[in-house]
Amino acid sequence: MATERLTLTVSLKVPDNEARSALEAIRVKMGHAERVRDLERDEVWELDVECCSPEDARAEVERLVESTNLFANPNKHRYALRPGAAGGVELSPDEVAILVSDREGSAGDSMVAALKRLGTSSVVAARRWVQWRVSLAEEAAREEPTLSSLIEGISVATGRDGGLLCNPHIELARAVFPWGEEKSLAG
Amino acid sequence: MTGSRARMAVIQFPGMNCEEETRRAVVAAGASCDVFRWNGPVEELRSYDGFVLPGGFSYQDRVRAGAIAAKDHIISCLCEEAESGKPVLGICNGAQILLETGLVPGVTPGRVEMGLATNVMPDRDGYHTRWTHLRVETDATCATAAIPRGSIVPIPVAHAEGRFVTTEEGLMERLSRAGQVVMTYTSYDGGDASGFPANPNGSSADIAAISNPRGNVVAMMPHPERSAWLFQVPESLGGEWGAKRREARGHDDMRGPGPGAAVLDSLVRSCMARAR
Repeated sequence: MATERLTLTVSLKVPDNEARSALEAIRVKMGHAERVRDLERDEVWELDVECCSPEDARAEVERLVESTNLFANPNKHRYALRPGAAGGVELSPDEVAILVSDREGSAGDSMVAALKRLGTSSVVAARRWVQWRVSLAEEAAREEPTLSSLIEGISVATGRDGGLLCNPHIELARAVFPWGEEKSLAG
Repeated sequence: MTGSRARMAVIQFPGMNCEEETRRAVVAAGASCDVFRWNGPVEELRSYDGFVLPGGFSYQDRVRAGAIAAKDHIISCLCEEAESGKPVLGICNGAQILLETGLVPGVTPGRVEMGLATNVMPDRDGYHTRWTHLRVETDATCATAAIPRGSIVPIPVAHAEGRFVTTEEGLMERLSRAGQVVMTYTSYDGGDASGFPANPNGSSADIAAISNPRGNVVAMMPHPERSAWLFQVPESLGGEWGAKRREARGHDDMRGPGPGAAVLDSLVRSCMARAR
């Protein structure tokens, strides 16, 4: 048996109120209205699956998603599956992805335990990330270091005036830039 | 001040659900008290002597408990009032907001120095509610000014994220040395919590409440407004308060103060002392 790593991305088919609230906070309350145009949110599961082949691993995760409803509710979610770790996200030139996960990985451990309760032990490890996709306004700086500073400023809660998406004392965060570079924001 | 009474505001954000019982408990402690909505006129907020951020789910806990409320316009005003010395008590979700604003622990004012992580409990996770026993570690804060140090106060908790944690090396020890650990979880007879269930969430050093260095801002996870009257105490509770409750069955004493009343008495007393 080999262990295959897959990334499952779950998105809402309906308007995402949480992303709207976060966008409002970033644009209006934190003063980034001229730099941040939109914000979308996905739930990303990085899953280590014990299987005989990559094809088997993919089929197993598809079966779990479709049959357990633990990862997605088909009435309101869509999902996509691809091999490899979280972070390899395709972005348009005006997008940056920010991935946030709890430091202790407890959401992943809970998912593995829940799957075991349902009689499935093929998923041996899981990690959950919230993936925020920030669309930048035309006027926003697109190059380092200004862009990095903007992304860090909206992401990491270091003080009362800045940072929303990650409390660095309980969460990890990393940014994926449109040119493919990844950068740790809180680790 | 209204006559000889302190004038207090319970600040309500959308999604909170404990504002009315908190207001009632503050009134029972001797203050006048209004529920002040997050989008109310901020300058009016300055006319109050002290503030409570109550429990609930501000902004539906979107992004992270307390995170969006901490960015609200009204918080800037609250921070200024707290920095001027006015008492502020954050209960449960209110505590989460205070940590996200950096008002507590406030070693470096305005800096987010801690977080409230998800509960760690054996064989379960998520939201958890139960009665806890708290040891008062200091009487030098606005939430404990009327409670002798070492007292054991039973107050219930109800949360999914109540575990005080930090990545800042040495901060916990520093808070302890500086008297900023206000209350810790303990067993009903005052012994060590020794983990779950006496410590209901795995909080570091059994911490249930912390303050800023000055002691006028306190973030506590347990809900004192849910134990402000004796009739709220369950008969099955261990220790002195459970016994009191059993003895009071069928008598008017049931309407007397419960263990959490002392927290709100402390708050009102602190407001009065400052306003004079």
